[in-house]
Amino acid sequence: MTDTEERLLIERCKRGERAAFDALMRAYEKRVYNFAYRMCGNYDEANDISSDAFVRVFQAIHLFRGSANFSTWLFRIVINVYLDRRKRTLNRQHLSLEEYIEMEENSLVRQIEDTSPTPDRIVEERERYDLLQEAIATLPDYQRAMIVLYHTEGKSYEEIAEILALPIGTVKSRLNRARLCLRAKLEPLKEQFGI
Amino acid sequence: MKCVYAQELFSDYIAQTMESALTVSLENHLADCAACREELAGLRHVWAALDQAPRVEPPAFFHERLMSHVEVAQAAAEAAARKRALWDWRLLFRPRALAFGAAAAVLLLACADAVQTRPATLNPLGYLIRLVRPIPATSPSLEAQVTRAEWISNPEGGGTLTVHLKASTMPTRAGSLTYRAQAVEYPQAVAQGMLAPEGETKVTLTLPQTPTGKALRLLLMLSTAEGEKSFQTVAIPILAVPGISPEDAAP
Repeated sequence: MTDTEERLLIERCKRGERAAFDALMRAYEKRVYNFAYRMCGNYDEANDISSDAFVRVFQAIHLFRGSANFSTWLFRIVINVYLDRRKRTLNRQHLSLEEYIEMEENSLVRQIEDTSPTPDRIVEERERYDLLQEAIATLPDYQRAMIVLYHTEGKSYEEIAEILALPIGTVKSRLNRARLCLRAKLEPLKEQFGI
Repeated sequence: MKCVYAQELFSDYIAQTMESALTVSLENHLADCAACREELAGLRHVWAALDQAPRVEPPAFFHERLMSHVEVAQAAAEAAARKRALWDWRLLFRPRALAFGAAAAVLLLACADAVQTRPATLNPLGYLIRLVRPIPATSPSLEAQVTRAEWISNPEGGGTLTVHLKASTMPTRAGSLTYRAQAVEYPQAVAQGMLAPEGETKVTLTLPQTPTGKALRLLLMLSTAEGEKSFQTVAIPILAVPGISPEDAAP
């Protein structure tokens, strides 16, 4: 979808056209779900975060002025939904990576065992990215958001600064710190991770 | 360059967004520091893994469930808003609400005249109209009755109706009592004056034509100097009015 097409779609959404909102959702729902999952590490919760985020978008789209990118505005909403939910629930991400993996080991094995037979390489890659996700899950909220926005969503430092309402210098230094933190957390697993 | 500072530059170095002078300085440090070289190599692997991490696919029917959730939430929000609106006084000042309010007020004022001539009652409409347009305080002690009436025709058409009024009750306080009489069927026929406290008072009304029908209705307003008022409607049987022939009276 081009910027112009998106702009027109948003104007139609503001007029209350459900079909337009349906199309806008289809354009972003997978990215929102993926981002939500990377933030919370849980499929069901990612589902809930995505649903709540799009409800907020629907109810507030008439307030979107267009001064920022729509995706910037959207991801800001998703982060706010995540943070609001997090305030209301216990946060398992405070555990260290070792404790987290130990707790999740059985469920991780069950996940692998429950799937249909796959080549070892694919299993290895799944484990690798599961470990990466678990490492990401241990980061503080804002660092986690920056990592996912930069590496998964391809956002620039400027866009991340706008989404998180932080100075660009802060984004750069925290992102660097987050990467170094992940590297340190994955150090004990460097054989699996190739670092 | 110290290792702590060097590591702060790693991300910019990998992304190749550093100034050339700083790049040279960092590379000089890396040449001499194995720990930082190892750290940088590890960071490159993590960076690549992050860039290559596959997107998580949403579950089946994700879009349909999302739309359903949005629609349910929106319906609930609209229902809550309608409920709040009943108690939100600020909504009374919206243009549409103001327009409806003004129209209702005009309608009530227009009805007020029609019911003002009736004696005060406790019916809801009367109560409501009094809130909109206060009717002067009425006194049940002010009342008059028509003792007799006469009609004198005018050869050029119409004639004069003379009505004899007698105050049946006196005002609660001593003072002059005034009357205003108007023929209902002939609104231009109006007479007013002082009502004698004792005996009869002649009231003369000029009508454009000989009254017809079964009765001639007269609106009477009596008032005292202190502002007390009373309203009544008197029906005068036309057949009982001397000077009006039975042929003139309508069947």
